[in-house]
Amino acid sequence: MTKEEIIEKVNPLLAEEFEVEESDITPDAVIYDTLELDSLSLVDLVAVIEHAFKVKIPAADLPTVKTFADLYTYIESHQA
Amino acid sequence: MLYQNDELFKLMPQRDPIVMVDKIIDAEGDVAHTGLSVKAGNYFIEEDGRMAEPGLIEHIAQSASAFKGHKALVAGEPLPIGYIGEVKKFHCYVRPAVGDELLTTICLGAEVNGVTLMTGETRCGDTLVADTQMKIFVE
Amino acid sequence: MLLKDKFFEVLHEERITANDAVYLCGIKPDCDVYNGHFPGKPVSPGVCNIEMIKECTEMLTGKDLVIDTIKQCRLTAVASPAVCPKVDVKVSVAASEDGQSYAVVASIADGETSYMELKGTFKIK
Repeated sequence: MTKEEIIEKVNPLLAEEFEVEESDITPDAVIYDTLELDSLSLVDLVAVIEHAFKVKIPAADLPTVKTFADLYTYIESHQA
Repeated sequence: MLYQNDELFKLMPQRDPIVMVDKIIDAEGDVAHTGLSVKAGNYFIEEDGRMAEPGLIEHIAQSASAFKGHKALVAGEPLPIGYIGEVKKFHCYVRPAVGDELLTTICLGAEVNGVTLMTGETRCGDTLVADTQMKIFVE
Repeated sequence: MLLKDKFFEVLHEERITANDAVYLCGIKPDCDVYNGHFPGKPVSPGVCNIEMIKECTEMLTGKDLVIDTIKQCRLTAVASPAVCPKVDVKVSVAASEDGQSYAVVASIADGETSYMELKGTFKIK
């Protein structure tokens, strides 16, 4: 999957799961702020990515995924 | 049958009067099947002889907690004490009655920093009773 | 009601509108649920707090209710009779068009700490 395809697929899924506007999801936006993530909802993010792309983000890698651009790159480089 | 009645006490901290799971039928990988015979003295039975919906949530939560306890026991790890962190997309279709045999499928999902996402679906015979997503927070 | 005057008691009721109320509830430390949840370590079961919200909603609406769906219920802190002997149960309802159910938004909190936030649909029994 190309990065464009990843973005097209993941943004609507995140907008639906976290009830935010898709237009708020921009590459430079900080995921935690935009999606209002906390210790409980972090696992929802991991589950959405795992379900849609079969990509597991281990807890140790989460600190490296700060912005949506980081997330797209992570998915692109870890997809099967 | 993997565990029944008091045998479950080695997997979970809950005791009478709020024990809401009484069997683990099987467990493989991240999926387990559990059950509960709904008895007259059940803590959540209302005046009309049917179970209040929070009883179903507790049944699913304790099923997951016992399943995690089973996994810890097999792995030789200490027993986790789990709390419900979140209930999401819970739907109660039917309130079970005294005499019903509940059968529940638990699927454990992603886990981050002690928070496990899981789904549970409870049936009685062919009837769907309840389903939900849940997050279990392990201390 | 299953848990009123057993797990909790209503100390004060403040009706804000016909659809909003705050119930100051005492969490009863002698409730038998603590014999098993957990032995020697009393923690209020989250599901008992959900039932307490349902019963407060029944008092607000004057109807017997069944929880049809819970869209989301977050349990944000561990509650116990020692930690929070009195809590505010805040309930807002909006009746559906057919009048058979209510959209419910509720919370349990005391002062600074929030213990539960719930959004769901309760049906008339």
